[in-house]
Amino acid sequence: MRALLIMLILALSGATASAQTPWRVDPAQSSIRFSGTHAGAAFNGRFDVWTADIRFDPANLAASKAIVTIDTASAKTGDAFQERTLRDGEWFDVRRHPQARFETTSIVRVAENRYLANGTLTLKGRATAVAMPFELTINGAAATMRAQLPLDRLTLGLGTASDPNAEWVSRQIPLTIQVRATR
Amino acid sequence: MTRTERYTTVAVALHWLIALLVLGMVPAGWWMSDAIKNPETQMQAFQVFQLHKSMGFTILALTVARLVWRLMHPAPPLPAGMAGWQRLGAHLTHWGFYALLILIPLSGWVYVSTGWSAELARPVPVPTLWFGLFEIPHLPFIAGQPQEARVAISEASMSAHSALVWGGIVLFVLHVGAALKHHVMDGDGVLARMIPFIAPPKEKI
Repeated sequence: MRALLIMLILALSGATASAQTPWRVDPAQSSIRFSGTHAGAAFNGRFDVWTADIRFDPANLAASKAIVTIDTASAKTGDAFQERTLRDGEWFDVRRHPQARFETTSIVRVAENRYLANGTLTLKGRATAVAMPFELTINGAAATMRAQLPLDRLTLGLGTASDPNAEWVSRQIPLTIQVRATR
Repeated sequence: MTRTERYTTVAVALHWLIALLVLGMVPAGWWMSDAIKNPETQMQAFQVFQLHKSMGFTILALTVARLVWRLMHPAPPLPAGMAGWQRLGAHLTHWGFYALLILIPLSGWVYVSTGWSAELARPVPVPTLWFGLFEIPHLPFIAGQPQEARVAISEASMSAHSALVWGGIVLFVLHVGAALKHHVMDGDGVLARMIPFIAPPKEKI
């Protein structure tokens, strides 16, 4: 009886531990990309430096959580002018806000391998509620996550004074996120 | 006048290089300040603005180099028989050009440092990247001003920028007119001092 109880506790704590076990992100196969148009031409950018603390268990979504921290200065588009401008106060304001942060508040299942992460995106000290649908498949110890997140740069406080009518930079800036992780 | 009384090769090269750049800058400047307001052309105008800034800083640097060279290598003497008022006019025109070639780029630098577009009447905080290669910083004592001050400086510097260009156009007409007058009417070697391939006239006996 006592042994059974211990086994039950171990099994339960094991279940909790699995939701609490962090996933290790493989940077080579993971990316946070953004796109849009600037001065009539499309741009495709990415954040080179970010970290993610992911505790995800499809069997225990209530205990699942992800916190992503992005170095705003690491935004690259391949265009020196754009990369330099993104650092300015009107855009990422890198000097005063070196990091952006996304933290989930809840994760719900929508369909097989499909979820919705509700969370808070904090950019330039301003918190915005964000709902991000994502697709996640787990194969043994490896997981692949993909998400598309259309963002409105004006609601995020980007370029609000210099380009409020999106004459220069598109208002919609879709994010494309891909994460490959193991545990 | 003999060949040794020409401007030095460096002075001649700087003169023509700067002249060529300036001839491109003035129409580009006029075009872009209007085109930036037109949705049909504002994308090209944006690119022309970036080019205009890069070329303006190039002219500023070349002019500083040219002034240093000029102070180390005096200009060849003017023809002996030139009237005093003409000598004075020549000197005023030449030094006026040097002053404008410094002040016009500087007023442009002040203007972009305000981060405020006088054409669009709104903040346009655009960095200056010299032909996309390296950044030329905004003037900190301008960029650090509060917005009301920057708006006023933006409008004043843009007025100065275009008034100085008009001054340059007046000097250009005088300069070219005088050079042609020397060459065609006086038949002296003044134009040949600055054009490498024109033979100086034979000495009059």
